[in-house]
Amino acid sequence: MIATFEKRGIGLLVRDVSGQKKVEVRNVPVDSTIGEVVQGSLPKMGLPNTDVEGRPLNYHARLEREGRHLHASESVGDALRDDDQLVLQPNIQAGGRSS
Amino acid sequence: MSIHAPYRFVLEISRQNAKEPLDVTPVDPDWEPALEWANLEAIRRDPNRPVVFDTQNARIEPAWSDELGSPYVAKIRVTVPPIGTCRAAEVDIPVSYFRGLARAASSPLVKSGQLADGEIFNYRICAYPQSCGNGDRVADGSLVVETLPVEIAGTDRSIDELLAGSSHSGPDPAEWLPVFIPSGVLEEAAELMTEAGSAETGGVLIGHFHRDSSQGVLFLVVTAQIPVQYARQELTRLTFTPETWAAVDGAISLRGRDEIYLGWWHTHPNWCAACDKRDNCEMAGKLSADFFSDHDVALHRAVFPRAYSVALVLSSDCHANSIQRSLYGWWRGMIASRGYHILGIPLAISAQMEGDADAEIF
Repeated sequence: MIATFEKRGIGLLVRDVSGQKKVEVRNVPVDSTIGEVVQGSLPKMGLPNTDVEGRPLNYHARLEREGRHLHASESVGDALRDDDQLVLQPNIQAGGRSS
Repeated sequence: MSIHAPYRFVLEISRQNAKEPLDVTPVDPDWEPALEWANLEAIRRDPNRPVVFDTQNARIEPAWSDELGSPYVAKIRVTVPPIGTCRAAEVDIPVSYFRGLARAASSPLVKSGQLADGEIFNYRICAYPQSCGNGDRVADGSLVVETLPVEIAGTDRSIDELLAGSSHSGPDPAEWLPVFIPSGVLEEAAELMTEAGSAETGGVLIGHFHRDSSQGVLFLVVTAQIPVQYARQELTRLTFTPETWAAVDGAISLRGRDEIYLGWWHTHPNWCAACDKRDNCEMAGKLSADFFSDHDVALHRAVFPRAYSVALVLSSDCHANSIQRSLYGWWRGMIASRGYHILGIPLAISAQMEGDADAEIF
């Protein structure tokens, strides 16, 4: 008899740039993408997902274990392990004119 | 609608001295800055409260207007839950919190001619109770996302010793969390601004949280600035990239002093110097670069959401005769200009720097 076990997903720790906001993400399906994990984490972290002009803010996930930025389309199963730590780092602009 | 505020909020815009509103529009405020402010205030008020930043269980309720009654809102009350033996704290947020939403809601009225461009208008906030949905799960039902409280180990340090060796600059409302910045950090930033010429530049401010246990006072000390790397530096724009942040993390790690992100700085250079129409421009010599733009506010919101975070702006006037320095920070969930203490500056120079500028709120 062969017993089969269904993989339930992995757990991750996600923080923002400053380390001031952290969330634990559980049950991440291995076939989900990095982009889905990022978008799913932002609301609970209280971080905006649009810039001042209403355009989507581009957060890149940096995998602390490897020191590299992940592509949004990479799959969780290919890129991540259980208990991995991600840092969400935005591409964001300062300056411009006074309102 | 937020799980923190089980109300539906509506904005009424009217002309000055008019009884009937021009427009009534539902609004969905970003409550996070208000929650963060209340969290910090709760910590500051109670010396026994641990320095733990966690807004997930705070609650928001409207306080009704004495004059008009419900559903008109006089102010917003945020309740921060008890922790350990420390009691719950109530912190009030003024209705000016909705100013940005009111400004956005007025744009269509200006375009349609119901309001003149630049016309001053009134706005009121109404709130209606509504049942909360389950905000604990994200839209994808398989992901479970749980917020983790962040505790900062503030070390005990005498604030009086720092005050004795510093001078104050900028507005000085009593409710600000004291921030100390070494004069060396300010000088480094000014040198980098000069080197960058007409392009914007900037960096991250790092340092430590402290508590003076003898007085129960919390305060910040900036220890260094990390200049931006891998950023796109343009005339009126500075773009922080993911590589920029990774480089800052690397620098903090190399320093090995348990420093945390306290804020950021950037420059508004003398834009007029690069303009070939300068000699014929009626605005030459009149523009001030000392401001905090909508993009600056958005960056501060996205990257420095905790209420103790600060933003330093170095600006050069049209004549490029001097560099002005202004510090901005969170105040009741909004960003305002604020004062700070300069460490290590001689008293004779500090006397020339004292200004009487009122705090400007964005």
